[in-house]
Amino acid sequence: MNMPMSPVSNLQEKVEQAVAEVGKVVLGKDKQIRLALCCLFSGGHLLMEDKPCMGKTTLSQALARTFGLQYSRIQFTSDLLPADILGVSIYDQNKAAFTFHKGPIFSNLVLADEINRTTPKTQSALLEAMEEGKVSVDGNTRDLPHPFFVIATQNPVSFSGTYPLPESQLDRFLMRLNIGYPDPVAERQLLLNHDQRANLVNIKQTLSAEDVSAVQAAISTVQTTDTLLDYVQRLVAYTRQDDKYSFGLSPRGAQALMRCARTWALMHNRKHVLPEDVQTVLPSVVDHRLRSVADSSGRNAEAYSQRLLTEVDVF
Amino acid sequence: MQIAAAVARPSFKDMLLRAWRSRFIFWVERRIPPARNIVLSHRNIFIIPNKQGLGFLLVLALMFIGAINYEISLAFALVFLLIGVFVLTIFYTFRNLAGLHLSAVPGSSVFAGEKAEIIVILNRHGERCYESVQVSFPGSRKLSCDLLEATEQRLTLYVPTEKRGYFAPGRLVVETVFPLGICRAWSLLDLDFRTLVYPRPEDCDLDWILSNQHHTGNTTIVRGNDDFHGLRDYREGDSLKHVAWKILARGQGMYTKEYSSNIDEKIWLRWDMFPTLDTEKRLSRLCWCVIKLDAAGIDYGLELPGFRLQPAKGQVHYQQALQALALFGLPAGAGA
Amino acid sequence: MSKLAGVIPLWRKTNTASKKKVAAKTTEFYQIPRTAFIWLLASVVAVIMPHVTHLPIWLGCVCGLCMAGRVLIWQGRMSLPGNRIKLALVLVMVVLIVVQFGRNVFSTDATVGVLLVGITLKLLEMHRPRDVLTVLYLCYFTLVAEFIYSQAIVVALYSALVAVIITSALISLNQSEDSQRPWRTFRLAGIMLAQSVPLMAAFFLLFPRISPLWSVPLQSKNGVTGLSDSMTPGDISQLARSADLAFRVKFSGEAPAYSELYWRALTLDDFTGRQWRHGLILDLPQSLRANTTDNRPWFQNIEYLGRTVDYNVILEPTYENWIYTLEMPQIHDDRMLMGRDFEVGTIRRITQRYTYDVRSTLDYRADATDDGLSQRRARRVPTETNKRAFAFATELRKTAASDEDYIRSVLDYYRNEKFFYTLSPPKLGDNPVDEFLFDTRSGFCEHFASSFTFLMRAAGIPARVVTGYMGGEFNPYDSTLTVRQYDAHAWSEVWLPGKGWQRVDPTAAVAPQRVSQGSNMTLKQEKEFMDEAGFSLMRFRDSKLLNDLRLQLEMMDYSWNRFVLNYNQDMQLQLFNNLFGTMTRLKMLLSVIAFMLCITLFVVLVIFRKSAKTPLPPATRHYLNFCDYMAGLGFPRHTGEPPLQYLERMSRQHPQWRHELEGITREFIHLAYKSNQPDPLVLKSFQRRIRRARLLS
Repeated sequence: MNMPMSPVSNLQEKVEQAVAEVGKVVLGKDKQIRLALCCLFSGGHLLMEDKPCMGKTTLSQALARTFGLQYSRIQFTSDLLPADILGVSIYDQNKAAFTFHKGPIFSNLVLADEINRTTPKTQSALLEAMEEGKVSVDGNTRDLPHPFFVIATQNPVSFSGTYPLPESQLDRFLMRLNIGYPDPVAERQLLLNHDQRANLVNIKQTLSAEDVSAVQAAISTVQTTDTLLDYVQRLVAYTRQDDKYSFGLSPRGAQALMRCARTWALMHNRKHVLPEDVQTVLPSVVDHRLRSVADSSGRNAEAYSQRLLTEVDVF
Repeated sequence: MQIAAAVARPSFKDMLLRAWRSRFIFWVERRIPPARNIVLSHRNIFIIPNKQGLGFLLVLALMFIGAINYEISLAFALVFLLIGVFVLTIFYTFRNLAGLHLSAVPGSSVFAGEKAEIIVILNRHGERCYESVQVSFPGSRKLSCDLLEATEQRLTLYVPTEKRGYFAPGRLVVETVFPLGICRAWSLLDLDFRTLVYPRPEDCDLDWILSNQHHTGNTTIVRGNDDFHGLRDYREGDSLKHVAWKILARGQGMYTKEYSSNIDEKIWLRWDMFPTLDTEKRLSRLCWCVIKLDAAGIDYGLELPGFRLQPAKGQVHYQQALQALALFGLPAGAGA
Repeated sequence: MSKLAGVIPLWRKTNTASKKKVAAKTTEFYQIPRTAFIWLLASVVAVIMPHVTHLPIWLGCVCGLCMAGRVLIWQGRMSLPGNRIKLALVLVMVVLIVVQFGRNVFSTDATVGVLLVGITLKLLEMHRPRDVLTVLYLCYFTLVAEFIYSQAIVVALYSALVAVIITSALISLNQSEDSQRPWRTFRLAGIMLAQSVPLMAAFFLLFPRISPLWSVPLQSKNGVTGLSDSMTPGDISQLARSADLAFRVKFSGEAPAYSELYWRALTLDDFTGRQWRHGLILDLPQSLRANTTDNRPWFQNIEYLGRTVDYNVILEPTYENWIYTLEMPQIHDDRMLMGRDFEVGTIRRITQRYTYDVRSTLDYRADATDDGLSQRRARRVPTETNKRAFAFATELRKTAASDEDYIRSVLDYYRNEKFFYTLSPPKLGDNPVDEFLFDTRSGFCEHFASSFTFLMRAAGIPARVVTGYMGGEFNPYDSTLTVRQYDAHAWSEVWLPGKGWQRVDPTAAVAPQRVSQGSNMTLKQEKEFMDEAGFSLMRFRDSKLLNDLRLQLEMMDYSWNRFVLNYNQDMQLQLFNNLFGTMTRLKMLLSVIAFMLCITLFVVLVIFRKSAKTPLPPATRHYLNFCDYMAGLGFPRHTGEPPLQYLERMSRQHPQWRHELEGITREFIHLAYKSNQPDPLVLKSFQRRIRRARLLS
């Protein structure tokens, strides 16, 4: 893969390639793949939530491969300790000093599987690292590599033996995706073929870390007009005023929404954001940041983001 | 017969008044249907000169008589000018409400008997400014606000509650007499608002409840003082007694030692714990227990007829428990 | 388990709620908001200010003390007075006012005084918002009281300012303390008053004027200068010290020659030897009220000969019963009637500015035949005093061939014997005519008129003194004639058989300039002239610039008086006739209503000019118009449906529309989402495109 002259101009093409590559292992989930790419291009962390065995892990691995990033995978269990992620200092007898053994978090892409299976203590170790882009162990602060992504997966909260992520920390994920069951066509394909996961190794790298930085640099050039910003503000205001939500969208949430919408526009080779862009990314960006009154567990938020789309007019 | 009439007369007047009032309310209900976000307009604003306005007119009448009797042209002019001002004030006062957007959001949750916190949001769009707009719910204080530079104001009103369950305050009264105080424009709005009121907590012997738990063998770790549990980064405000001085002495930074206590139970709060009490009393006691246990950070489960909440803790769990208590036994559609 | 009790914190929630109740307690004393208080004080001061000059001094002091007290109370250095003190204060005030005004307790001055004291005392009693309102409403009311004293333009402007201040105070009362901005409040009040001006004008022009419901107590004549119904030497020269306005005249045709401008008011035919008085009043005005003026017998004695002059006079209040006209007036006005001596009296005393129209015939013959009575009155001479003059007259009459000849020789006497026309003649003793004619020989017009009339009567010719004004000042800007107090004059009338009453002005024999150019030109060298005029523009009449300025101001003042202050039922009707031709009552009512509606509509539009909605960008507006149109066809855009999605849906349902719809949608997206400043040309073509699409399908 050689560096193109203008990485953003042929972004759409590259995205199509990447979607095709990832689509080899995750069938019929183009929209989710695109949204996941959008999240990573925007420089945010991704949370995938669905019932077990829905292909979350496969998707995240495929994404990692298509970016060609160095990645590590952490399987979260209830006995996982913060040190298992961050790394430990071990006394080296030969050097008569402590040497730090980096944990799996020191890689460009971290796949955190079933993040809600581990204790809050361990969760917060990861989430703090995500937030700050560095790790403090034994009083020394160490920078994480750049770019740094976390693709976390989790089971729905109601499953037993889980420690739900606190609301404040959910905010650190730019998007939350639900994979959902495959559609009948994809399902048939799935049944016909052998295990898709075998294809993982065949996935070619179509994107690079440079693409990500180029997109992030280009995001600020995407035009957002007053007409559009008015719409976004109305959406945000609605979540804050409607009594179906126990709390509204934070300013950070609104920023995240705009950031994703910009990236989405770029991914479609546009230099301006349309309301469609906002509407497409809205459920993934907003769902985990909203909490409805009737259902305080945070489930079913999808229905509420849908309400946003149908009740707030574009103009 | 005459005596009866004499007795009946005031009550007849009362009846008439009441009938008129209920007719008015019925009319308002139809005229201003409930909505979450209401824009004030000619459809829902009422306007009428108030007592001060009648006083103003009386003064104008006196001035007019003076003008006639002394045949003073300028006095006529002044009276007519003030009549003009009076007419304009009707429009000005109306304008001071028209176009205002109102909605309400619940504040923090309350227990029955407390005052429900309701945040009324006033918004203005466009250039028009609003001044001295007063809002109140029946039973709350009247709050006044201006929307001059700001485009949004949030006013917190406290409305007394009595029963658990969904609480809907009466119609919101929005009114203004600005600018001259001689006309009153007002509106009665149903902001389609409801907030959950938890049962009134009542004190009970928690120790007794705890000691009567079935032992399940599960162990919960509660931050306490018993055993050393681990180290964590020092945060400002941590007790200096708990700083890991040894590690600090090694030059590895400041850490806080964490200790833990073990309580080897998950507590179940059950409906049949208070067999002698009626429903409301039971709910009140249970509510009290939930608050206490949440504050202590102990896992607890809740079991009501037809409802079961697995032992857990945290804000979400706490709210679920209280909500179950608040809505227990109420028809599903009540206020929903 | 017992250790758990220590772990569980005390339950907090219900305690916080009960604390909130405490705050709801109402405050005992109403504290007027700071800024509103300043506005209130400003209103009261502004209202009292103009009355200071005509109020007793102690009353002004009381007002000042009350206000000072109010400020102290407000600062918390003094407490509100108790009921007893208030009662005492009120009683003291009542007593003081009764003492001050005595029998005139119900006069306007007293009423205004009571009003002002009431306002300021009320300042000390403010327990409720209602008390503040009362004060402000009283302030409005007091503005009317001010107009009783003066309705000049300056007063009107000042009152408008005060009205804005009072209205500001009212607004300020209804504003929250944090958002008080005095200038904004003042501006709002000003705008509100300005916006009600059209409505006021409409009311003013159209509202039917009603005649007074009951007669109001008259004001005293204090401090009003003007002619009285008697004349002693020195009376009129006193008037020449004042430059106050007497009346203004507007001629509807060409004005008569200056020397014809004799504004006749009273005939004085009763002479005491020193004082001329208006004799026996035969014609009680009330008894004659029912008669139409022209039926009375003496009018048949008037022959109107020459050209007529029509003019309109606006008379300043004189607190007397007569008006001023040129000779010989014809009156067609219910409010006045003509007396035996052709004076014109009014039925009511003139306490307001008074407008009347007169037609005068400059050439006339009146009372040509002797009816006995009035001539007899005009022959009476007191013989105890002024014996030298009497003898002189008898001597002179003997040498004269006829009455006319005698008159001529008397005038010659004045002309030839060094008589001086002066404002400051020496004092005269018991025989004023003698002393003037033979010793001092310097005097003002009253001396000449008085001595001339005496000499006539002594010779048996019926004669009387006439007082009034002579001349005036023409304003070139609006060609009105302004007559001032210093134009006051006295002259004589003699009766000659066959010719009737003839005007003879002996002053003209001595100082012809007085008659041809006016007292202003004649007397301006004398230091007493206009020395009571104070510092006014009248003093600078020699400066061209300032004099022009003065004349222009007077022109404004005249129009103000004529068209604003004297606007009455007649003018109202005339206005309507001019505007709409003959009016029926219904037509008038309808036009009034229509007019008012228009004005109200306009004002309302001005009030609501600021939109309560955020204005949509033009492209969006056009697009939404288009969507409305589509909805009208039965294909509405759903709430929250973005344009491209709508396009997709429509194209699926109606592939034949795809092309047009796509064009519109793409153009809209280009306009609305590509840039904040869309190209106006593209916008225009977009609008046209939508219009075309609506027309075609």
